[in-house]
Amino acid sequence: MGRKTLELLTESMFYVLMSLLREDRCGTEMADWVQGRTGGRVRLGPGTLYTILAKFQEENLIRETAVDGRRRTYTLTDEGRRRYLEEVARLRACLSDAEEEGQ
Amino acid sequence: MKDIIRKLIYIEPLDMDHFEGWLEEMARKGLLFERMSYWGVVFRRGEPAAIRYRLEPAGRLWTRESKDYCRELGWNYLGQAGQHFELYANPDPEAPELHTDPVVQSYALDLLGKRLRWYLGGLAALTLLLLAAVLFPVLTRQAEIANFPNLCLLVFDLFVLAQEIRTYISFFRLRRQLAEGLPPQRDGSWRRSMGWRTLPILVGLAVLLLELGLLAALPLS
Repeated sequence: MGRKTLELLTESMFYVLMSLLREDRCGTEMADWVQGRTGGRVRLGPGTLYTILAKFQEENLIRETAVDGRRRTYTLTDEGRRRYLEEVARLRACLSDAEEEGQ
Repeated sequence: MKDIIRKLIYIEPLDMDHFEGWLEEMARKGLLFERMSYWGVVFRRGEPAAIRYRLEPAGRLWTRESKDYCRELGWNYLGQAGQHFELYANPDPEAPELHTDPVVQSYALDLLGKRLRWYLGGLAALTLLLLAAVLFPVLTRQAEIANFPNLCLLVFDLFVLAQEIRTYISFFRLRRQLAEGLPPQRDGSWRRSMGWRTLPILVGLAVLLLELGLLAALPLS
């Protein structure tokens, strides 16, 4: 792919990383988890989901751990966990600024 | 009434949002996409329907899991669309989009964008060669422009080239919009795109008629 690094994580990218925080999952499990976690607010279309997985593998944020028939299971790498925590810190800072400024 | 309708392609699949918008408009009129042929698109007459059509760069959704997930959400694979894309359709208005994140969709177009830049470079080089071959004899006075019947064909070639470049620009415009987080607009703007595509055909016909007229005017001796 043309662009070298992901400068910012979009909401769907962020939730895909979050879905792998506690356990390894396959693509459709991630999509279901994200939909459940966000109460249906964030849904991952197939094009979006599998592009994210390809991009994250390329960026070494996730790694494939098993292929069982049609299912491919992924796990978070150390780099993926670091990027996730970095994004959490950024979002916390944004929220803190917003709270200080008031409603 | 014929059940199968064939239409010449006026909009290239590379002009993605316009091509998708055109297919959706056809479906609303009861012409359902059947397949691409060498010359155009084959439609099947059916009930007017609000079907969403989406292009995806060829080979991106290649795993069996991704194909299963597409089917699960109602996205049916319809086949190859042009050289670079696969076409998917969904008749369910409640189903999520094939791409729910414009920025991620722009990543999906990155590899194709890279390939298109090479094509565009090759096309520009060929055009320069063509121009040099046509204009060199004229500029060095080895041939006079008035005696050069291929000049009309050159004009036609340049028109076709301009259309190709316009299509490429359209692809890169969409990719830039997606990267900025703006979802594609599949409104009626495909009509303008189709108008631009029709222009070289009309110019081509005019050139042909002009050439035939010139031939007819030549003495038979």
